[in-house]
Amino acid sequence: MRKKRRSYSLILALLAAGLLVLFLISCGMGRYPVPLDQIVRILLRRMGIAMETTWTGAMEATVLRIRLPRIVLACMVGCCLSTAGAAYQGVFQNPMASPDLLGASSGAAFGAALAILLGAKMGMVTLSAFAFSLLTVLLVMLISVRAPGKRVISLILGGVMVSSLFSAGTSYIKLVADPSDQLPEITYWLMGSLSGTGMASVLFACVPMTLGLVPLLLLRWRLNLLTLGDDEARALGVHAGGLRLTVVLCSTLVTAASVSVSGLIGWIGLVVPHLARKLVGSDYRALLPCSMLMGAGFLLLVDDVSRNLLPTEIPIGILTAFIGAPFFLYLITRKEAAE
Amino acid sequence: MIEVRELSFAYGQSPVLSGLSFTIGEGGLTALLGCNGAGKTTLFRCMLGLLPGYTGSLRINGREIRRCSVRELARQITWIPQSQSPTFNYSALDMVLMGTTGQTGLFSSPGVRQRRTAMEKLEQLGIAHLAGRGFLHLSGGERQLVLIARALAQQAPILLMDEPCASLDFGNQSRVMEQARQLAHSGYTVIMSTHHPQHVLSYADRVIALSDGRLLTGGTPGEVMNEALMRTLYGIDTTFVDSPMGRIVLPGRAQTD
Repeated sequence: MRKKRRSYSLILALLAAGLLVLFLISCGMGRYPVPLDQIVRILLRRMGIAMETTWTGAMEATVLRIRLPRIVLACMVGCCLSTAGAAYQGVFQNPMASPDLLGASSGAAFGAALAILLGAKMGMVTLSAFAFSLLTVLLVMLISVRAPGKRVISLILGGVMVSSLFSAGTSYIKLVADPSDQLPEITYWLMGSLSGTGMASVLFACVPMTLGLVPLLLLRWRLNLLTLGDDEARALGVHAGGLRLTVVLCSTLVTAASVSVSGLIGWIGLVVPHLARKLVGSDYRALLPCSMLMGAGFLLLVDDVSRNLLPTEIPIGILTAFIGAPFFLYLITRKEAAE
Repeated sequence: MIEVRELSFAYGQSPVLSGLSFTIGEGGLTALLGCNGAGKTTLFRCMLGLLPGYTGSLRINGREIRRCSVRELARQITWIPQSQSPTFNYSALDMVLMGTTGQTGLFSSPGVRQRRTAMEKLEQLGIAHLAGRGFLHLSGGERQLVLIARALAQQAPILLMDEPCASLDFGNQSRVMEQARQLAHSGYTVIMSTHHPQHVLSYADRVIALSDGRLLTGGTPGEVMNEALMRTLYGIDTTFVDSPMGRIVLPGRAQTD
C-alpha cells in the first residue's frame, strides 16, 4: 500500500513537471517567438531574482503583458472546471455529471448576453456572467429544498429546467440584439475564448477560485464517502447533507468564476476527471489534485493550438470538443478499458 | 443496550412501524425476521438516526437517538448495508478506511494509525490479500466481508447487518454468518435482518419477529421459532426437525405414514 501511495505522488510530480514545461513553452509560442532561455530569465526577473538583461523590450512586453495573463488564466480555468467536474461527479454519484449540471453555464451565458445587450463594457460582462451563474445555481438549490423526495434527483431536475429557462432567455436576447455588433459579440462569447485576457481577468477570477478550491482540496477525503450515498455516509459518521452543500457551493463558485472570464468551455469538466481516474483511480485524495493538474495542462495545450494553428483564432470552446472528443472515444474503446 | 419503547414511524400518511417495544442487551446475535415490507429496514434506518421523525423512544445506552449528532451515533452504531455496486471503484483498503472517517478531523485524511486499523480488520476477517483489489472486481461474498471490515474499523460496539446473505452463494452465506456469530461472541452486539429462518436457528441468540410494523414475538430461537410463527410470517407450512447439528426448518408439511 505504501508503494501505491508513492506511485500517486510520482504521477502528481510528473504531471506538475509536465505542466511547468508546457507553461514555459507556451510563453514562447506565437507570431513573435521568444527563445526558451530568455523566457526563463524574464520570468525569474519578474519574480524578483536578479538577472542580467539579455532580452529586448519587445520580448518582455510580449511575454509578460500579452502571453502570461492568458496562459495563467488558461491554467486556472482548466484546473477549476476539472476540479468542479470531479467534485460534481462524486456528489451526484454520477460519472456523467459536469460542472454545468446545475445551470452555472447557462446562467453565465444569460448574464453575459444581457450585459452585452445593455451595452456594458467587458468588465461588466464578466461580472454579470459571474453573478447570474451563482444566482442560477442558488435558485436551483432553493427549488430542490422545496421539492419532496430525493434531494439529488430534485437538484438535477431543477438544474435541467432552470438551465433551459435561461437558455431560452439567452436565445431571446440573441433575437433582439443588434445583428451588426451585439449579436456577433454574444455568439463569440458563447463559443468560449481566452483571447484578449489581461491581468484584470486573472485577478478577478483568482479570488473566487481560491475560495472554492481550498475547501474542496481540504475535504477531498470526505468526498469519497459522498459517492456511497447519503445513508451510508451518515452511518459512517459524516454529515452528508452539509458536506454536499459545501462541495456544491465551492464547485459552483469556481465554475462561475471560470465561465465568466472564459465563456462557455464545455467538455473539459466532464472528461478530464475520467482521464484522471484512469491514471490514479477513484480515491479523491489523489483524484482531485490529479484532475487539477491535468485540467490546467489540457486547457493550456488547447489554447496554444487555438491561438497558433490558424492566422485567426479558433474559439477554444470549439477546439476542446474537436480535440477532446476523439481522444476520449479512443480511450474508452481501447481494449484495456474493458477490464 | 438498545431500548425501544412505543416506536412508531410513518412515511407521510402510511405507517410503517407502529408501537414497537423491545430491548436488546449487550453482545449476542439478534435476528430480525419479517416478510418484505414488515418494517425491518425502516427500523434500522431509525436506529441509525436517518429517520429522526419517529415517535416514541429509541435509546442506545440511555441516549435518545434523534438527539445524537451524526458523529456521536457513528461511534455507537454502524451499518453493514447489502453490498451493492458503488458508482466508482475503490480499493478494498480504501473502502475499509472510509470506516475510520468519524475518528479523524473534518479536513484530515486517514493517517498511519487508521491504515493500520484498516489492515488489522482485513486480516481479522481473513481478506488481507484483497486490500489492493478494486471493490467492484470482488465477488459478492468478498464485498460483504469488506463491508464488515469497514464496520469494524468504525469501532462501534453495535453492528446492524441488513440481509447480509442476500444474493450470496451457499458457501459465502455460511462464511458470512460464521463471521457474524464470532463477532457476536467477541462482544459486539449484532442485529441482523434476514429472510432465512434456518440462519436464525443455526446462528442467532435471540429473535425479534415483525409483521406489518408490529412486534409479533421475541425471545430465543428455541422459544419462538415454530410452525405457527412461520405460518404467520410467510403464510406457508413448515416442518421443524431435530438433528445432531441442531434444529432444522424445512418448507412443507411432514408426510405421516
